[in-house]
Amino acid sequence: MLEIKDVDVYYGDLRALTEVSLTVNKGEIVTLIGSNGAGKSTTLRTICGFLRPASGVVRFSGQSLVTHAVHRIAEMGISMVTEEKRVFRDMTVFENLRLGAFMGKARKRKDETLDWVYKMSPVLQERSRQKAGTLSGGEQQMLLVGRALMSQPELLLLDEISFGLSPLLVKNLFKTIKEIHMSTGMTILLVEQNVHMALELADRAYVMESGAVVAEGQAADFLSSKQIKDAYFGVTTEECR
Amino acid sequence: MIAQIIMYGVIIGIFYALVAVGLSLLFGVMKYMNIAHGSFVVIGGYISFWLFNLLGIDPFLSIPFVLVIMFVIGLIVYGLVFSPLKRFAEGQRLGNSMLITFGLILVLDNLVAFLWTSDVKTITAPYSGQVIQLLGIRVPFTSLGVIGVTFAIIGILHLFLSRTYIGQSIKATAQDWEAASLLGININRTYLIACGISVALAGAAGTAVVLMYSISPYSGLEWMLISMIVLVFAGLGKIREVFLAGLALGLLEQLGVFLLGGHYRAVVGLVLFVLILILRPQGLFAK
Repeated sequence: MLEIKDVDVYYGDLRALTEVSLTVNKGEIVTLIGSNGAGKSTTLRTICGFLRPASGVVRFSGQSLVTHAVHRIAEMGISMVTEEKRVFRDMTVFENLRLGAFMGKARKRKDETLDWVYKMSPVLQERSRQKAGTLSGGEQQMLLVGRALMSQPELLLLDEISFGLSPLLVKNLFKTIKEIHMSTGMTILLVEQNVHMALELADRAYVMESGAVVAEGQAADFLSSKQIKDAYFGVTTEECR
Repeated sequence: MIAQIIMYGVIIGIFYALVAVGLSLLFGVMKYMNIAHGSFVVIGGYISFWLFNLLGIDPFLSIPFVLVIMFVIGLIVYGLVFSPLKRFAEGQRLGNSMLITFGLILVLDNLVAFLWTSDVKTITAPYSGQVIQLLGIRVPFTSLGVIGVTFAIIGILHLFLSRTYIGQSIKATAQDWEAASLLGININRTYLIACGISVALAGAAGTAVVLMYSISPYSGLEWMLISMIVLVFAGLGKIREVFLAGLALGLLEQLGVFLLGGHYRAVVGLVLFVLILILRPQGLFAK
């Protein structure tokens, strides 16, 4: 479904990604793990069209993405939940969700989708008339996920959605993501610092380091391999327990 | 006497809000400053003047035509002037937008002088000069009309921004353009529409100017100054606060005229402008 091949991305003169290749198949949850500055978020921003690869291929359902504007890529069925809490603060929860269904295809079915999102996360329905800026961090993150779902994406990109949330909230959020995946079979590409949680959720994983993919494999294998855990996430896995 | 001063302050204040609201919208959405805003106000006034003189259309009824014509001009301005600014890094765009629209003033003002000569123009409608007694206070008929028009325009703008998908996409883009584009919102198209609306609003304000005062090719700067002061009162880019900010400026100006004399009318606004920038740069009415 999503195919990235030998992609190089630069920030000015600085090389941020070096020959990154990865694939996400339809219906899979794939996670991208690695330390800070390893290039995980850069990879997602390249898929969305915020960054242009200097060379390489980014393809979605057979179509090349590299020349398209961000909103065109969104229209093709890719939605991203960003790492900062970027709700539209001055708008109500309902207005945020409604904007999620901005695109023609999703707009027609927005009432059904809204019911579904509210069922998934009743707190959003309770607070639907409230300004999004007044929500707690966890609720804002849930709103961002809900807003992305409103566009009925084929591929959902999640960028460090656990960042800054308490362990309990993170657990709930991941449970919701799992439910979404189970009920819709939505394809998900997940970038996470919380390696343990991410590996438990995902089917497959890629490990990134200094802008390059250094390992890939089944998520379950990473979880059970002590050597790999110590090498790449040493301290982090301890913290997760 | 006091009641009369307050009444004039309210009238002029509401009119100031109309003059400034377009500029506030443009800045709020695009983070560009349009120094030529006042020149567009003047052009709107000339269009009303023309419609009145050539076709005999009442200035108040000409406002829809002015809005449409100025909207189209706004689209052209975006394409020619603002769109190329995207080549610059984000931090340099504001400054460059000021430079390029400053140049635009020279072009527009001379174009206006070429089209309508540099004589001072005003519209004398059948009801100009008529006064209505309201609770013992004298209110010019045209001022009352301008207040009605302002309420209507700001009300429609509010409904448009809060009830329609396009309006909501403009608001979303103003708050966070990256997040908006991830939802499939075409940022360029949003900017284009916002620029059209901004210039259209300036044009409607021009109709009010030509009814209440007069216009000449080089008088745009005066309305630009008023708009800037209202914007600083409201907080840069805040659209809802513009109405209160206009009222505040109108009332304080009239109070200044009463206490110091008419010569100091403009001074009051400019002194407050500097004080607010020093003491409360986020604006009087910003939270």
